Amino acid sequence: MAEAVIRARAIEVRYQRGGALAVAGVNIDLRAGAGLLITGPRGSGKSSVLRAVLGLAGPGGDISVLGAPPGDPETLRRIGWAPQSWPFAFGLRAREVVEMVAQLGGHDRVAALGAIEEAGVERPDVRVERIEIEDARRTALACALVGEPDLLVLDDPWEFPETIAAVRRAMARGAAVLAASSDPGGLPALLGASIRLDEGAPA
Amino acid sequence: MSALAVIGRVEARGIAHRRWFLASVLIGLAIIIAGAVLAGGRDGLAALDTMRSWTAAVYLVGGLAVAATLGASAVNRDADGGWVGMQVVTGTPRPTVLLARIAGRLVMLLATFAIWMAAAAICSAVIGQGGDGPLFVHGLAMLENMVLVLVIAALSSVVLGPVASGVVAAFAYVSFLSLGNLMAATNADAIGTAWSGLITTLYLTFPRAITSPMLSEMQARGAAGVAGAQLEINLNVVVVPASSWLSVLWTLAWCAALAAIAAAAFRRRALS
Repeated sequence: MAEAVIRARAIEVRYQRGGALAVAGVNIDLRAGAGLLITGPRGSGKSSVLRAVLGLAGPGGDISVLGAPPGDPETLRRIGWAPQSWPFAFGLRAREVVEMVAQLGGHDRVAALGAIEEAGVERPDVRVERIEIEDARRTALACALVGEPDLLVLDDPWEFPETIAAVRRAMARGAAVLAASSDPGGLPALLGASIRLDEGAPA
Repeated sequence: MSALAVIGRVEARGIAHRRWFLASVLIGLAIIIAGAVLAGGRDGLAALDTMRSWTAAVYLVGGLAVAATLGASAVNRDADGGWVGMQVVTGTPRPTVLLARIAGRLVMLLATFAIWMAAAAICSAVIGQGGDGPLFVHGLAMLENMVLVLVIAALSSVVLGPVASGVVAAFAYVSFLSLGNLMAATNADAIGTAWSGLITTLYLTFPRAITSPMLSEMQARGAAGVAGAQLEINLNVVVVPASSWLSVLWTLAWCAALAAIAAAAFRRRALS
């Protein structure tokens, strides 16, 4: 049986100490070469689950990612992350953003350029504040693809042909793919399994 | 290249292309040149005072605006927008990410002062005042003050929004400046002894706003303008002395400590 990439029981996310739970009672089992889509309306906690898996938002529950607790720096090097929306600092070119991710992950410039090409970024030498939203989403995808990670985590991926091809390639080489989207389109069929959230809990 | 250098360089490069930053540097330059033009039409001490007071005003007001804005953007907005999270998910330890983001901003603050100080030295030379070493030393003193402002704003930005972080840093700097003034007044017996113990304790404990020999001398004459109005307490003119090397080192140590506290606080901060 394929290696367990994510095993999570009763995920809880609380953004403020003593505050309300943004997510509660979510379980995930994701193995190498498999995919999982988290769906649900806006504000249902999809992104919070991804952040919990990555250790970005103080997670509760029993979570293991690639055999380590969430947020473990060595494990994070094996994860490719594409945040939602427009996550870049202004003043930088799209290519510089992807190159930064590559350098920090211990990869060379060739890996960054390869990821840019694989994601289909159309204007990598334009500053991010001037690119179209489509290219911003492609740039985020490129950041996730750098260095062929063992786990792809995609928040609100847009269904470009390059996205579908990249997800297929990743799963074919044994990487796991975890994605979240409120408008899943063809992603459920592509990823093979899905969880629906409503108000922070499995629907 | 280390993660600290990679993130620091990327942050510095991004800031270098922001309009507000470029505008701040250019406005500061324009005021320094305007001061030099005005000083060029005067003679002797009046020319020297004009050049120095206009430049010192840029270092204080412009430096405060740039430092507070740079520091206030260290975490909050980029953390909520996903940019800081992208840096963290590369496997870079959180404290390194924050220290690198502060380091990138310090580089841009240093670049700002380097440009202003070079312009002031050239302008002084052009109007016949030479390179003006005391004004250069004052630039270094104000740079240290603004490093303190930047680090306080960065620490605040771990938990507060950008505007609040900038206000907190500016307020803290003014408080340290006031504390230095009160200490000078205490030493000059210009205020009641009932307060001297508290003032001395606070002055010895907290970071100190650094006063250059040039500013101290001009302030005593009432010639420093915006950068340091003559200090009068209980009808006594109080001379704020130039800071000692111990104060310079003490404030630098505080900057390092505040950056370390920011890095520690950042460990538990939720990121998008």
